[in-house]
Amino acid sequence: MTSIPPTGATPPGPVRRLFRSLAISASGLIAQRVRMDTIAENIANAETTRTVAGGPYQRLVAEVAPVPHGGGARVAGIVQDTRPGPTVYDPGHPDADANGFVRYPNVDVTAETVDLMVARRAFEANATVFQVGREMLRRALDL
Amino acid sequence: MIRDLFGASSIYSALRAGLDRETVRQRGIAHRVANAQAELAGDAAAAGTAVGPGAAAAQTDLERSMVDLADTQLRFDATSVLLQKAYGQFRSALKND
Repeated sequence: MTSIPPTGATPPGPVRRLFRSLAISASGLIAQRVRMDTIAENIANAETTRTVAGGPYQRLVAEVAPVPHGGGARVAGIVQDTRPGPTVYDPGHPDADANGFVRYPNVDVTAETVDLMVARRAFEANATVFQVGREMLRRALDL
Repeated sequence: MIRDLFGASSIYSALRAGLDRETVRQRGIAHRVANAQAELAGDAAAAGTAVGPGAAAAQTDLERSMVDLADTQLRFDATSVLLQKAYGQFRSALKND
């Protein structure tokens, strides 16, 4: 379980206020990175039929939530998708049950890949906003 | 005299207020963009996939936010150039005096 501390919880001072926009974008970047990490873990374990806890791997979902008072975004938690995965008849598999069926993880690699593309685009959008904020700050310092 | 030059009704004050306004606007856009994915992720988890009507709505919001961002940056740049020129003129007036 990964937890990101919320940004902007305390009222910022005058110097910090200058950089608040950058902090907001950074919180979005962190949230997307955690989301991409989760997707990578799901894809890596798409064929894992036995975990330490027992049973097949279950897909993880990163919950992204807004930080109050316009403070950006944060990962509220990483939760397990409890839907059962597909069963495949494979009597030779070491994890096959008495009837010869193996329960596979509930990871759909295609859906995960689409999620990854969305997360990447969101990451890029946050990076663009960060760059614009930095450029505006630089211009303000040039005055 | 000096108060008139830098007071609330002066060009400098108006331009500074403009810069502040664009900065606040940019902060709001940053928050919206940071959370565009939150809506998208919530819809994706509910539907079991990342594509759907909710995803499309969030995408539209993101596009609008990026357009707003470009607009804000241009306004900020224009205002800062104007303020720079105004300060430059004032400086040159002081030198000539």
